[in-house]
Amino acid sequence: MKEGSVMEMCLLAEEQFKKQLLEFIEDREEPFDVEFLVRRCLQPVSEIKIHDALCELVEEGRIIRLDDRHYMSTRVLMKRWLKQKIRKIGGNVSFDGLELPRNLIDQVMRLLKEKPGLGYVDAEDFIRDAIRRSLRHLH
Amino acid sequence: MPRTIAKTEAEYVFVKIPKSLLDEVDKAVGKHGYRSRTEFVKDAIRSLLREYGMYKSTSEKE
Repeated sequence: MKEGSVMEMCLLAEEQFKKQLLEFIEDREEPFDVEFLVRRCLQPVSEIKIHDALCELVEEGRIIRLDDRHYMSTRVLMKRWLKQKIRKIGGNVSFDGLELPRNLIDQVMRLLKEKPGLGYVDAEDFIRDAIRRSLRHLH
Repeated sequence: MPRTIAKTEAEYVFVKIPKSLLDEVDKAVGKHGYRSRTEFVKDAIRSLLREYGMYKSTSEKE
């Protein structure tokens, strides 16, 4: 086998390992360390290999190094930050009511049902987006 | 789900909108020739529905 293809295979295996490691830690709520990961590996993997993979994931911005020993996934940190932010924003918002024709709202509801991929939570979410877009368009 | 209000000619739905957003709407209403904030919001909804290929003009009640 050529030296180049051996290198490629090694790199692929490392990428695969990094991917598996990331999948394992992405939704972990609590900070973790290398020892925890060594203990949880089904196949024996050296501590150095795990440490190297973690360092690469930190460089790629996929996980955050909290201190010398502990790490956390960016996804969990982002979720925590968003929760706090939403709680803060939600606490300060005051609402006003508006009466809108039912047939128009029905069309909105139909769209949300037919195209859930658009990401609107409910009709009010859609209406808020519609208003913001119109305001942006006018400015 | 928005609350439904029955009116004499058409059925209306009560929708909650953040006050800060409606304040922005109020500023735009006079400047851009809309009669009311409701008119502006209805037009905004129609535009976005049109963008997603879903808007159907049904009646004058709108």
